Amino acid sequence: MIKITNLSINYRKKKAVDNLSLTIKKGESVLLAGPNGSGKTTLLRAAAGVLNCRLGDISIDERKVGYRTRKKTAYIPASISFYDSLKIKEAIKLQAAFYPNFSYKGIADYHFNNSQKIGTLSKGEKTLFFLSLALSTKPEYLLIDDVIHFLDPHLREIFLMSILQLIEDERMTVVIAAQSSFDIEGILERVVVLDKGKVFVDETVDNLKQKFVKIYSEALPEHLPVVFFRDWQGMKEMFLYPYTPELKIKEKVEYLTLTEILRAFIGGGYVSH
Amino acid sequence: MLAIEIKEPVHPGDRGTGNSMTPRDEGKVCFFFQMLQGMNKGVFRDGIIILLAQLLLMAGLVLAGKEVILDPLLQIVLLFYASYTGWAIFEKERQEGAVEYMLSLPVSRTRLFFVKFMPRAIMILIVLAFYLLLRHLFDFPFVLETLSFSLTYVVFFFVSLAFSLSIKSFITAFLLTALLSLGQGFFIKMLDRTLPDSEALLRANLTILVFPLLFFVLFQGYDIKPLSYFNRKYAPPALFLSILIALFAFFTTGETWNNHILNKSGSTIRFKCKKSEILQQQEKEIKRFKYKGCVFPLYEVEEKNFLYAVKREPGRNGCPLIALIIIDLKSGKEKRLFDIPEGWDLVGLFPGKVGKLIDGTYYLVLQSRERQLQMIMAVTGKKVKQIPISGNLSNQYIVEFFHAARSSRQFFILTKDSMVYRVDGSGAAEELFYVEALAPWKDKLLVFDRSGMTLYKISGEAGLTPVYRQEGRIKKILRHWGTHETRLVIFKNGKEFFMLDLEKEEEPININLTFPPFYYLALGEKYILLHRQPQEIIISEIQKGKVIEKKRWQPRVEFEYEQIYVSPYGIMVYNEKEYEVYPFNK
Repeated sequence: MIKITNLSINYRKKKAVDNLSLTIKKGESVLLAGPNGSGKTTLLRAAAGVLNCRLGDISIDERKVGYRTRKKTAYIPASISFYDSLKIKEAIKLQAAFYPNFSYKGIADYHFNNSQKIGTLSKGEKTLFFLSLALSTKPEYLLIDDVIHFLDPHLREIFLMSILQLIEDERMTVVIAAQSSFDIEGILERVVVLDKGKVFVDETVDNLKQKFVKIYSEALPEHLPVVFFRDWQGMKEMFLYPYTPELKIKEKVEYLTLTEILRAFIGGGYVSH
Repeated sequence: MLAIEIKEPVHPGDRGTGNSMTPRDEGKVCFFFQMLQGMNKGVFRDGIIILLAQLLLMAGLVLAGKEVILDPLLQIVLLFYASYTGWAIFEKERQEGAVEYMLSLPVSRTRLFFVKFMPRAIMILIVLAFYLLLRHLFDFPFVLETLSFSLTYVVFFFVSLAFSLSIKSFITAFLLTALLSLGQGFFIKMLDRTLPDSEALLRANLTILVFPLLFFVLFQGYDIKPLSYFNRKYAPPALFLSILIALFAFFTTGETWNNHILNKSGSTIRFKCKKSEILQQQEKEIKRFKYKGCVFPLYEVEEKNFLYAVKREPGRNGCPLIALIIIDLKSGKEKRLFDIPEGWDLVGLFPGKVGKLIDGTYYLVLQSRERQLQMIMAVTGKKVKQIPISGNLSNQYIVEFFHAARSSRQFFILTKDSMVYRVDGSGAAEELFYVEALAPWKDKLLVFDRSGMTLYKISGEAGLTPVYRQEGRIKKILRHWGTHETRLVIFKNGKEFFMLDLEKEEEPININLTFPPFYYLALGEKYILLHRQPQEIIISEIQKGKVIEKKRWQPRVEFEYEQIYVSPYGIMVYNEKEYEVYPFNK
């Protein structure tokens, strides 16, 4: 379980994470969404132990984040941080030297040339290789920062399938930071939307889909929880959250896909900025 | 549905097409295994290149017959190598964008540090060992001796390593390291010129090892935040440590002094152009009074515990005289008595032995070379009276001034041309005679001329009455740092040595002396002779015309031939840094 309690992380005067508390249970797969600068990457880095936290607390399986928790964690940063000058076989050896449970398993039938240098791989290949390395450490917690879109649709699907299998077989916890749920919705159970370093929404996917609706109206009703609105062909397109049938809205209520919901949240985030 | 194919594990040594490797046993991963991995790729290669470079350089320069430049060149190359190896400890990660990966590895920061550090340290030592072996085998001329160079080399590695995260430019890191190590060594050497180069370098190098320690401590909290965050934590203590090191070097490096004087009461005065000190041994402690500028001691009034001195302060033309002062030796407080006009100088060569106290009035002479003027200064309490010297010695340069009459204020002046003048209380000067040497004592004046010596008695306001005359090739034995005024006189007549006690009405006594002493004096009824040898002083006494060796004193302090000062209190030997006293009443 990843437990974050009253966590604050500042960059100079800017609060990247602001007194944030969140619990992610073992085996959960969570999407961290939010506009740019909402604190997604900072939160993942803190959980991966590459960023120190002085205010608040972050623990994994009741142990403060440190080198012991890093043994259980595989972290894939957005920029795929790795040694470009190493050959594939050297990179595998390096990873093996630090993870006792390491056993390299390639994803699908994708073949890498052992003598090829990491720096010469394409962005997608590099992402795939690095994801393979990460999964080969048999992590209990997989923290992925917005890299899946580097994979082509075929590899992305294969990768997500392999994650799904690990979630089912090994109860692996997956936290993915992304702007969109496109293609990954199938593995997600929960969505956490961050805004200005705080948790704005924390719902299961199903609940969120029920609670987030869109209506069209000529005027902006005062009593409704509108998170984002925009003008649309002379009408106002409004996104409501949390929506319940008790609100008794006379306009037609439209339910949305997760991708649309996230887009609306992110748009709302910018408006609120 | 797409299948996930997990390949059968294949050992990485297998050069087949598979990318898999055999699962390893669970448990702890070997440190050396981690150390030898790709994150340290290049360290061993760089080391081998530098080994080959050493060989090539050596071969080239030896074949060209330029062994003299071999060692400095090798040492510079090796210092660059050591510095680069230290500074570049995380350079691979920085260049390849692998910092985040490195920090996410499941090892503590300490272990991570050592994983990166150890291969570099090993390579550094191998390269050093190779260089020392070459030096030993081929015996080429060297700049820094083995220990000094080895230490500097290792320190360059460590200190540059301490700047590996903070400074992005290697040249800056190298120059900063050189400044802290070699620069500080020069600074220490500047503060203490007597210190051997190796010791100055050793001190400098040892103190700056705090930088890698500080780095190691702060590295424990190193994270992915921008470098400025690390620098904000690193720079203030590093700057503070630099200042502390400079202050430490400044205050711990023994101060050097131009001269040391031993007072009659046993206190020591040491001075240089910018500052002076009086040190008094009080029971087990040494009390220290500090003064700005050069306090040049003139005359100590032992019974009243104060000291007349002149003060010099650094100016445009060296250290000109500023003022006549009086120092209370109990409290160390100084009082300014008289500001000495510009262009005036003091008569008297021997510190601590200038001027004369008569009936509570201290007399000394000032002269102006430019204006060809001289004056006597009479200091009574705070009152200073100036008495211009008149007469026909206006173009003379006075080398010594003394008083040699018990009852009257008659002064005698010895000029550079060895002429003796008598000056009365009003300042009127009268030329007396030419002398080879002279020895005044109270109301007697022993004059050495080309044909012998004459002892005069000074009577009242009148002239000098000769009371004793000896003909021959008589030469007075001069005393090192001693005034002419002396009760005991030793002279050589032909090959024989004689002594004369001017306090007594006796004829000279022949003494069995082989070599002239460098100093002699009468202490009560004792006649003390001092001979010097390298790092040894022989103290003898004259008893009934016989010279009897009493003691051989071997001071702990190293001193040069000239670095000896004798006062009625004892003998002092000194060097630029320290001194040692042998009291006569020991």
